[in-house]
Amino acid sequence: MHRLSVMVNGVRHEQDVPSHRTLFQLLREDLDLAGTKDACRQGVCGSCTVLVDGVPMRSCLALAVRCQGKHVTTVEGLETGGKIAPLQQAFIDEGAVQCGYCTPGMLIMATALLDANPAPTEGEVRAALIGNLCRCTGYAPIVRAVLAAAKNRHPPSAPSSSRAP
Amino acid sequence: MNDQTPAALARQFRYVGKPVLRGESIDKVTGRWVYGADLVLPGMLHAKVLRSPYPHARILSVDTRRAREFPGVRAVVTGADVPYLFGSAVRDEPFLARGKVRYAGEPVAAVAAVSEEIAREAINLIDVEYEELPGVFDPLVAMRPGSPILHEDLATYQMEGAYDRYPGTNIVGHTKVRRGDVVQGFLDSDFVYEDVFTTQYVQHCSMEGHVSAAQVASDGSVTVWSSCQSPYNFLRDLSNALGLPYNMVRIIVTGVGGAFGAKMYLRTEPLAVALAMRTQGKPVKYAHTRDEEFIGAVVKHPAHLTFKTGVKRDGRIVARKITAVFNTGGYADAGPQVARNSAFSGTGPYRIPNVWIDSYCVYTNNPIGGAFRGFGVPQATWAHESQMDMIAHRLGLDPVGIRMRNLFDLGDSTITGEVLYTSVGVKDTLRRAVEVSGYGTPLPASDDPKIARGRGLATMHKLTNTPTNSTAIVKMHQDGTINLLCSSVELGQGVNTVYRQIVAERLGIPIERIRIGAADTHYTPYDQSTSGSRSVFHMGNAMLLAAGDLAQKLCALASPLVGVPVDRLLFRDGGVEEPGSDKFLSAKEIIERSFGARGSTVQGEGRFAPTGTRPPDKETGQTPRMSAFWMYATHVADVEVDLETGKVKVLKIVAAHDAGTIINPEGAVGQIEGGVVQGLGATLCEEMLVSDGIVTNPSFAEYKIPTTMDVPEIVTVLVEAPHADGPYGAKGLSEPALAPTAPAIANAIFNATGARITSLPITPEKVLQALKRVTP
Amino acid sequence: MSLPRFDYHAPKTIGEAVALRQQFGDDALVMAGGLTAMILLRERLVSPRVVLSLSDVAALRRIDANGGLTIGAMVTHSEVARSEAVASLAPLLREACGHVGSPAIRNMGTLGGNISHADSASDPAPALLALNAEAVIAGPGGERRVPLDQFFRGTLTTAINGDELLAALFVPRSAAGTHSRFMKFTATSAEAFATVTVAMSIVCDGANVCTEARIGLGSVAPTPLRARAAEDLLRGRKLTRESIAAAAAAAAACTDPSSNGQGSAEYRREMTGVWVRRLLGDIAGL
Repeated sequence: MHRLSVMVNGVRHEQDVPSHRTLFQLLREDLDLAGTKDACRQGVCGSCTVLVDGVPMRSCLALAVRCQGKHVTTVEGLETGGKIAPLQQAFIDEGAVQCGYCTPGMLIMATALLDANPAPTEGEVRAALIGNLCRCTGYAPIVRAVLAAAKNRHPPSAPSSSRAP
Repeated sequence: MNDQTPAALARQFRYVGKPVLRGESIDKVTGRWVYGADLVLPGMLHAKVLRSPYPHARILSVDTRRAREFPGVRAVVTGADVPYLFGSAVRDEPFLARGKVRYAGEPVAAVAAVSEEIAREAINLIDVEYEELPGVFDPLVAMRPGSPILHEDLATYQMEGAYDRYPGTNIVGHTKVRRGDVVQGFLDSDFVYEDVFTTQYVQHCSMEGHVSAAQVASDGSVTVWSSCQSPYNFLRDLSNALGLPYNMVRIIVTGVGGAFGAKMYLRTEPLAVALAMRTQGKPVKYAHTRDEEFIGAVVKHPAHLTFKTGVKRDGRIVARKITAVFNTGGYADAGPQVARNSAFSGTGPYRIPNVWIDSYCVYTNNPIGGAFRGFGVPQATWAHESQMDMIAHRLGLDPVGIRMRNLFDLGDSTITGEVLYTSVGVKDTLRRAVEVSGYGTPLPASDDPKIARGRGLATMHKLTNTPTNSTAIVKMHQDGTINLLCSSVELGQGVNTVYRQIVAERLGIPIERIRIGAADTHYTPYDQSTSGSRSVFHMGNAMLLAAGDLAQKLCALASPLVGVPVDRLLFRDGGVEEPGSDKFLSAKEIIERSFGARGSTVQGEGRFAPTGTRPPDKETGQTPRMSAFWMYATHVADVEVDLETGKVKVLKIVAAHDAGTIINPEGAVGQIEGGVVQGLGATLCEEMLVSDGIVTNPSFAEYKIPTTMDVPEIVTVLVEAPHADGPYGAKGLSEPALAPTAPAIANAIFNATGARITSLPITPEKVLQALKRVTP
Repeated sequence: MSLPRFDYHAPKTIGEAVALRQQFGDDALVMAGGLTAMILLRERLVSPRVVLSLSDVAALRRIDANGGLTIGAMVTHSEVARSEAVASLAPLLREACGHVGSPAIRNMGTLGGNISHADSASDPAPALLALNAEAVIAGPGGERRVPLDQFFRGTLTTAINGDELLAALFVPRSAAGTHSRFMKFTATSAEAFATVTVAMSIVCDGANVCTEARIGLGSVAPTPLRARAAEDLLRGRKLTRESIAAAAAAAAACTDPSSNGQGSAEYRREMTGVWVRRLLGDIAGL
């Protein structure tokens, strides 16, 4: 057992975790944050993506113990004070949400992108999201939503670092 | 970029035709939408399944003792414990394998335990002894006498539909179309061409896999939570399998993370139920892992299509003979329906007087072929649109001209004898696709001599499941707000919003006052299924009828209040009025004044069942009304081909669709764009590799679906040919986008290089080989 | 989703890590970025008693630009792709690391983890081979260096012994007049295992006379490899269409590809030749 102290969506959590617990399990089972999804368990689909110290990572391939002292952001952490982020609103407005299963991972990657690159080109948006699979939308409205949010001058999410996604 | 017709723009509706935003999106962007995968129930146990490693084998023994004794295990079942068969067309599939296994991956044993970890360990403690049997993997071989027979008891299976089956063989479905005289037709033709086309194994790849939970009460009643498309199909199939009255089975639909047909019929549910029968009321949840999605869910039927077509020199099609073989794997699932559907749409949207079609559904020791967006029509479209261009080229005719010579007009009759009496927008889709894409003008040549550019097009049509019924309830609370109750499922395609739009429009009530919930067969009335692109038409009509019924009831309640006979009252703009007078009562006022403090809800019910449909003749496939509606589309593809690597880059797709009146243009464009990309994947980069029944690439790492970087520019064109019987003239949309992309790309590759590829997927290697045949 | 149980050790220094390797031997799975280790664990392909994490060994996270480029084994692909030192000293490696998987994968995966796994489909490996890199291996006796073209011994097998760790990759300074090219050719989607990966580092003068040629190939043999026969045909000669064609043919001939969803063996061999030819032609301006 390891005594883990980790910030999740701005809230400090302390608990004992066994070595083999994944960050994904910690978030979903221990912290009841069900927004992060698990579609492949291999790190290919992107639905498990969260920010660790502002950097997008695959929670299904991360051990919880390795997050000691770090700041983790999940989709639940994108809204502040009961208000959704401009990026989330842009997804709604642009029809970027169909079944919605890929949406949390997309939002996380896009948040990291806009934090590092507030005015991306369409090509940069597509390159940033290449590791997030969507089977419903064909991606066009998702790309449009990210570009629309960029135009609205998306403020940096907290906590952030200036690393590129 | 979207192209809207003037009619849509000029429309006077408040909601219909408008891009109303989806109510559920807020929950999805905040991570709060509860999918089946997220379901947590009190006392919930977790299931794992032991699957056969062999494609065809007798089960000699199954020893579960060590698993049963493993701490934390609450139930273990094998086929011997569960003597039930299920199936939507033919009841041929056991809950768990009994006596033998018929595909690699077939469930042999299942465990329910207090954690997924324990269930997984327990599965490994089950010992199974198999005796391998010779397998048959090619459906053409499986059809021949002397092949290993998968289902010795085919004759004893209960049939759910009128499908031909041939006991003693591996043929489980045979659909025929006979029209005119093909023999004479070929004699009357100037040219007769025969070509063969094939399609591959494709996986739906919904981001949320199959998942369900089951709970069995002390009285034996069964509750199932499922990420599914058709709660009433599930109810019927489970009830029939278990021998339970329908009201003792309850299906609750969770949020669904994509379906595309995969979740149309039972899959994880029988296993969850079998375990739940042994856990003293504790619910059991079973979720496929991704590799189980590849080997243990259903797949798109690979097809082998032989097209023999007789034409006149001017390109008129005189006769067409098709032999289509659909590889349905170890169990039939939706196979007979897929083969049937493909037959009835099989020749394309063309006038053909002499037709002979045999469409077979054949068992092999492979993964199970099931419903996949398009239901056999993408396979048929691949064939008829590729051959259309091949014939055009052979005759020296232009691909647009040859199609225009043969395409349906209003009043034409289909190959199954149906006179198309409304909404035939196919020629408009062709005209508009050509116009918007600039198809007639060749693409500018690349500066790079190793790159060839070309354009190609393809047209298609599709029927919908007919006859099918939908029922809706529009329930008004005493404050005038509304809940919609229906068993249509929001899969991401946007139907929830469409229904709200329809009811808001019909009643003149602000859409914000209308909510829709999830399907639950205990509460929501019958709907056949969310499939076949049928929902907007059938459930939309049911919603209209239910709204109308509510309006009528409110008028009846208002009548004594305003002292006006009911037949002089109208419901409009959220209330009852007497035209010509200033009498008006809002719905809220009517209910309050009618029921006061005692309160009440007022419900309107609507059942929609298309009229005039008759089942097709078993021998000829003929019926005056095959489909409640037909959908049409034309795609134009611009491609670049690297002549040294064979790699194809799609530059642009123009997708022109006739879906009748478009109720929600954003939803429509979303379905088209998504369908085009899914079709693109099946065209260029998706293939499940199945070798002697074993799936060798069961993961996203190896089975590649399109990414953001694989998607061309997609231009959608909405051609609205309103349907006389559709709600506000609407038809359906979600499936057609998947079909014409493949042949449009193949035709574009031919246009660019002279290389013709007749098998999917179009890999760079195949293109290179075809190029070498053109210029040796 | 669950992994098997194990004890987790996260040493702070290379010395501690080596000591743990010695202590546990085959009972320990070394975890770098975790991408490979987690999948091996989840699929129960391995069931080690111990996971030896390198995440806390700060010394392995450094990029050093003195006398050549030394990249610590735990530097992530993202960090390599962003590093100014790498950009100026080894742009070929920067490009290669930028092709690994997708952004989130690059944030977790490490150069050392990738190279020590020795997957033939590794994106950085052909580039490091073309750069004449060395593997810096830490063991009980200290550090030793192995040229990378001797490092890959067989399918998923390297020169690292059971009590050693890959500590860094060393890339010597490139000669003046070095041209480099990289191509990861995929037959399916844009994010997929390669059909063939070609990386080359060619030194030639203004007259296109080639003094040094190193060509690394990936996905077309059990290990990443150097196309030595092709290199020999180029070295000391002028780059012409003929010499390039001959080198391309030799590169194709030295492959030993298998057939899978990314292409048949024949196709991969042919594509090796096509891309070697194209990249050389691009360097030569032909």
